[in-house]
Order: sequence, then C-alpha cells, then structure tokens
Amino acid sequence: MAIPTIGKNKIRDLISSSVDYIIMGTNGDDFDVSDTGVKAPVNDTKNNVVITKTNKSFQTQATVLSTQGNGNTLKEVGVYFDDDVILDRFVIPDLVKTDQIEVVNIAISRIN
Amino acid sequence: MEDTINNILRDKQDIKNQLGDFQNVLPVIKRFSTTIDIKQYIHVIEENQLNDSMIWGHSSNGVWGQSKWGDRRTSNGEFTVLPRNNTFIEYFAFDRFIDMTNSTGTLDTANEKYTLDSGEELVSNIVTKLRRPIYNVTFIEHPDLRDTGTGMVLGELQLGTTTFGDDNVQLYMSNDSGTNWYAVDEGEKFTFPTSSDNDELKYKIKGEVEITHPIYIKVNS
Repeated sequence: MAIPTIGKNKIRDLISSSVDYIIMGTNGDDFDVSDTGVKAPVNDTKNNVVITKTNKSFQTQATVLSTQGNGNTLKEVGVYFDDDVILDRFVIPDLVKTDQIEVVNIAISRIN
Repeated sequence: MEDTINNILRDKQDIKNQLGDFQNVLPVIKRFSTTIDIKQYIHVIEENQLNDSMIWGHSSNGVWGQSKWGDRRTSNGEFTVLPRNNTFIEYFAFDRFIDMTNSTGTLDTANEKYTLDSGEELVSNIVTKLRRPIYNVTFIEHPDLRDTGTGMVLGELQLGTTTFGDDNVQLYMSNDSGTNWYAVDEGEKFTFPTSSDNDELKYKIKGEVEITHPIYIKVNS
C-alpha cells in the first residue's frame, strides 16, 4: 500500500494550515525527541509564519524585526502549531541580536 | 517490512479468534497500513543588516536630521542550518537552492525532476553555509535504491564512470561558492584542500541525464 501524491498533498495541507508561529531562544542544547518547545524562549521574537506550498512540501517563514529580541544571543528556533504544540526545534549558530539586524527564519518540511 | 509482518500476525490472530466458535465459513481478513514520514529537512536563516535605516528610538538611526533613510538592507548574511543528520537534501520541489541563471537544464517542480541534455549543467546556489568550516562532503545513494544491486547509483543519476546519452555524467563540489570546483565520486567522501569559517557549499552536475530522485549531500561526516 502506498499513498499517492494527492494524498500526501492533502496531508501537507492539513498540517500546514495549523502551523502558526516561530519563536527563537537562547538555549543551544542539541535537539532531543523529548523536547517540548524552545528551551529558553525570547518571547518578543514570536512572529506569525507565512506558508508557501509546493509538491509534498511546505515552507514556513517568519521575520524577527529590528525591534525584537535585542540583547540576546539567539541559538534555537521553534516552529509551533496554533495550539502551542511545537512542530520542530532546531539549533543555529550563535546570532547576537541587535537593532541593526532583522532575522528571517525559513523552515521547509516535507511529506514522504 | 515491519508494517507487513505486523499485519500478517494480526490477520492470523483475527482468524484464530473467528474459528474459535467452529464456524463453517472461513473469514478472510486483510489489513493495510503504511508509514508517513514527515521531515523538516532544511532551515535557512537570513541575517539582514540594517546599517542605514530609520529605527525609532535608536541612538543614531532614530535621530531626526541624520542621513539614515537610505537602503534598508545593506547586506544579507544568509546561512543554512543542516538538519539533525548533517545532510542537505534536494528534492527538486523548490528552485530555492538551484542557480536558475547559470543552470542550463530544465527544472520540473511538479514532477520533482531536473533534466540535463547534452552539454547542459545544473549549478546549485549555496546549499550550506554553517559559519564554520566545511571539511568534507559525501554524495549518498538514494536510500530506496540501496538494495537493488544497481551499484553506483544516485537515484537514477549515475556518476563518474557510467555514460548516459553522449556525455559522461560528472559531479563537482565547491566549498568556496564556486570559485574552485572539484570532481567527486558518488558515495565517496571528498575532503576539500582548504576550509574556513566562511565556507559556502555548492554542487554542480554535468552530463546528459534525468535526475528523478533526491540528491543527498552529507557534510563533515
């Protein structure tokens, strides 16, 4: 039994329609399957995502503005559903956030 | 395989349960199941410098009368974070990581394939920039084809020694954004002669070939 592309795209639509926001944090610990969220969130880096869909895939994008998260060394990013359950957490190289920069977070997910 | 075995075992147990009452009609039960794999396979961070812009409340950029109304983004420090297994994957579902200006083949995102005719080449954009050295890379076989016995296969793209059409298909890697290209073989780790924190990984494929399976590039293994 296999799932045809149209079915995978339906699953993509169901998942992506519930993805809501991205938030960054200051904890650089490696990802673990037991993670329940960003480990040290910087709350004002929370921004709603823009979803772009393509075949069996979707891209989530959110921008941390120049006025947000300043004074923090950002080390992690979380992508969340609209019920605050995390879809994905990933660790990034250290990023010292100042009012001179904005940070665009892009995460691409795929249904195989 | 695991799904199939589990289904058979459950079918067997269901039949046993039904025959426990000595029914005259043998029931036939068949279960179906499959596995869905959802993966977040690439993350890109763009760090945009706002050196000459108006920012309210800023010590210099928020002051009236100063020349701070110019171009908002003066640099784009994009870097790519690899997923947990340090592997970049190109499914050909997006054109984001393909240099559409310098590539001469045909991208088909609907069918997730890239076609190269004789003399054409596929040149990637920067697929990985980690802000730390990129020492080595390995092209990996498509996992679905590992057990087929077809040998040197990257999806349906065969590299190095195998000829498709009129051209030898050849794969190249660069860790300096395409300034220097190095011919590599599929499945074999290639170590770059030099590396630095500014390394930017690109790949290039030349030859007459239709790439219909994902490309996997393992970094710093």
